Amino acid sequence: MRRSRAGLHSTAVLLTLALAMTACTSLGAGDSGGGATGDAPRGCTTVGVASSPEKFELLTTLATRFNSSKEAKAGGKCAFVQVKRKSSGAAASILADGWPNEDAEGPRPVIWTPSASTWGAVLNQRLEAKGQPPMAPADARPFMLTPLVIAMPKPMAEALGHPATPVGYADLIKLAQDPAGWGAKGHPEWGQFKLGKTNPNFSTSALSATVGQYYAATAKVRDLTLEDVENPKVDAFNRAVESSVVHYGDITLTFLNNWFRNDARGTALTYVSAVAVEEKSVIDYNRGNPDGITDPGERPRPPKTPLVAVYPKEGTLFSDNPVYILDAPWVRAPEKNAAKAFEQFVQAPENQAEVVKAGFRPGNPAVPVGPPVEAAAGVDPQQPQTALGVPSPPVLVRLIDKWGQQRREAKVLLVIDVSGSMGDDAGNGQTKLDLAKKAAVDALSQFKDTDAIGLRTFSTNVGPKEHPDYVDLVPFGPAGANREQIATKIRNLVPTEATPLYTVARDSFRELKGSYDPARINAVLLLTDGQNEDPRNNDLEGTLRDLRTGSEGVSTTPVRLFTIAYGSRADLGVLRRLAEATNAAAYDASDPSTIGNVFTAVVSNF
Amino acid sequence: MAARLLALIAAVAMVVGSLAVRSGLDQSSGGGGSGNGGGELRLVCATELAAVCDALGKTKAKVLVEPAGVTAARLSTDSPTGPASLDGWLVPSPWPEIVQSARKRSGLEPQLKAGATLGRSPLVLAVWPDRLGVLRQRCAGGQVTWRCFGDVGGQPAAQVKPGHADVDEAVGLATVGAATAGFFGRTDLIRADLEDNDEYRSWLTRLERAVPTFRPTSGTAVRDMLLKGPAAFDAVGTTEAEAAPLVAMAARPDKPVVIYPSPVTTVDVVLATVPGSRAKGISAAVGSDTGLDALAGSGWRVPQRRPAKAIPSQPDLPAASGLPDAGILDFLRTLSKEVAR
Repeated sequence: MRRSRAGLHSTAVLLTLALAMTACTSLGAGDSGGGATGDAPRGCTTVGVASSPEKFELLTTLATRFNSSKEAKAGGKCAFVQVKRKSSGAAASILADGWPNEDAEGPRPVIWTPSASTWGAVLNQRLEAKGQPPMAPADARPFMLTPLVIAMPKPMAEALGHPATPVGYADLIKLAQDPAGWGAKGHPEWGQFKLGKTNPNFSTSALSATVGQYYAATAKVRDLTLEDVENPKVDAFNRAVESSVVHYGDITLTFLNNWFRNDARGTALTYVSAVAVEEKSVIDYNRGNPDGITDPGERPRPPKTPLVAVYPKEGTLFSDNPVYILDAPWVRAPEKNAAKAFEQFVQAPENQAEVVKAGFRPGNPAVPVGPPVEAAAGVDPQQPQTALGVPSPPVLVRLIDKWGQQRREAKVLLVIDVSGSMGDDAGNGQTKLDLAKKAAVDALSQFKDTDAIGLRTFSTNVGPKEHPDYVDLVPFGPAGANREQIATKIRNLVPTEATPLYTVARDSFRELKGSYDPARINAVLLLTDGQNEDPRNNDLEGTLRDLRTGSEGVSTTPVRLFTIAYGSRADLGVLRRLAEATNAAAYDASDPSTIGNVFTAVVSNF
Repeated sequence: MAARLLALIAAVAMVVGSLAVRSGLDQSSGGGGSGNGGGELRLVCATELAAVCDALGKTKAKVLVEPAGVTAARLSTDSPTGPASLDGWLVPSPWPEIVQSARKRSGLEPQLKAGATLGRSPLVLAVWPDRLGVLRQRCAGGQVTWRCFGDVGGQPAAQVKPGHADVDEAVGLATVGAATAGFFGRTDLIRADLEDNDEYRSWLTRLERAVPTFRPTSGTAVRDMLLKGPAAFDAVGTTEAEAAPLVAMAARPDKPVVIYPSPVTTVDVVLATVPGSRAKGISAAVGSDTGLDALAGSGWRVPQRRPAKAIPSQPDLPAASGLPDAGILDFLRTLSKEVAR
């Protein structure tokens, strides 16, 4: 809430020239990381920006424009903005720890712009719990806005009465719990109602959706309390919502990409019925660009079945993309002043026009909401009708903790490659297997005690006669009981022979299908550093066919195969096809040092 | 060679010297209003008056912008030698009086002296046109009064979602004060009127609990309205100084309208100074062309100054603000927070 500014000291006027020079030389080389807008010119005050991924490109464009603008040179100074991509939840966690590892996480930011101010509240609460002052100022202005919506294929939304009849979380829960599924709405061919949700520890959409669920459960629109969060009826409501989740995801993109692929195959209506996403994502999807990024050679092609944005009748939250000029120990007055110049620059109407073009609502009221935020894109600029209050920081933090207990349980088979190449050097005297073992063991803590997890390793000729390509080291059991045993087994892994990738992928998938647990998310997490090296099974097409057959249409036993391509020799292309054949996702850990973060992201699907 | 060495030493000395000066500036610009600032004048502005501090902070004073309630809390418990952290406090009245009373209650010397009114702004409602229709339908004779704003805004059907700033902000407290005066139909209230009237307390409770949030993420309730549409608020009580320019510049096709509920009530800006040698200086700074132009430029009606664009000449302002006195407003701060929970 506080702002301060000093008037110019009179003697400083006499030294303007020297000051201008030294202001730059003392701070110039602060960030040598290169960054999205290149290296800072010598003598400029560097303003590092940690941006949530969905606006990274937009902010990078504006930063480039700013760096060559007169606003960046105001007062004889020189400001240079460098934008780095950092997911909101991850940045909140790292900032709460004081951003300790600049080598791994990039330079400490001056500006942090997460997707929503809920993350600022979470950060400040975590700092308060450590007895530290807040870093995210309360008076930060929004850069742009987009409301959280429930994205649904148009025919499904219409079956619920949309747009004439308002639809809310309560309607979705009712449908999810109806044994007749979509049959209750005259569409048995769509199977059960399936909800897609991301993980609120990482995803703004998920955090906002979870807050929305709590409000829906309490029939409130503001002032959610800790008592509300602990209320058994509210707990039951949320468990009911979570029970209809097909799988979680670290980012909404996983769902949108899979939805788009299913749309091309004509199976969009059976993959998932509804996903909580930001309004902007619906626009991107209907443009034929589900991830919002146009890669080289990509030509957006609108889907056959468009999505529509359903604005929950109970109310919703806006992702308000605050621009936090951090009150952090490493942010001094020159950086703050330079950051303020950039903040004002992005608010200028001509720059806010770029925001609208990208599918967001502007953060400057002088700029009109316009295309593509329009009905033709599946959204309604007149909605939502009710904005929900951002809960207090302690409530937010507790709500995230509670989600860990309420989320749908998982049954996950960890499948780890122990082929010979895993013994290759990964730097710092460690092998790739050493790093993977540590990451896998660390990730075990993310499973809740009642999740069922098992451990399988694979390499040619490691297993018994009936399946020589893999060995089950720990059978399925509750994570609470299995965690230590699995950790010990993982720590003892040693590299062996070649990589029977297709066989282990197919067999693991089949095994989960055969022992499918309808109360849980059923999934295989497969990590490999190589490509298939199994002369006995080199049939990729056959493997894909097997996986796809078991995943398309109204499957009563959906199993997802998530893959991690580990190291530079991993066959990411094939692993992506294997994962996508089961409506899951592949993760790229081609740089072995990233395996810890990648494991965290993958496990957030469960 | 010796000449080169001398030149090098001189260059290094210049760099070191200028670094030292720069470091001093950095510290002062980050230091807010604490300390004596090496002789600089120190001005604290209430949030609504940030534009004045922004203007004076460039050349004339060391400034700090914060909610009136935050400054009041600090000044109310300051050491007996007086509020050492500022020379002047630019704030709507009667906040200086609220501080004086609090200091008296704590046995501290009353050390602030409020000057004459520098600028005024009537309280308004920014309301969506269709919700204005609802208000007019529900208000007796179709005339929107502060009482009626409370009546309709507090109804459970939430047909008109009311909004106002937190009561620790000057404009938030003024809005609640205007509504309260409207409820009773008079301003000469005593504390017992509020404490002992069940009907009033229920009415205030309904109104305050109907406000979706007192701290909107867009900064103010009117900004939130313009950015998020009717999802945020339907009718927001604030000053003309804030609402009129914002609504005028808004690009929404469905703009809110700005109305002046009856009776016209004003928020009046004063400069409270700490008596002493620096009082004159801070008064001169705030009363300078820079200060008064900034005040007028940010939407306040200032005598002898051209009003900002979008500020109409009507309605005429009443002689008195139309708000209850400082004691009642101070009590309302507590009461409002209590019932809003």
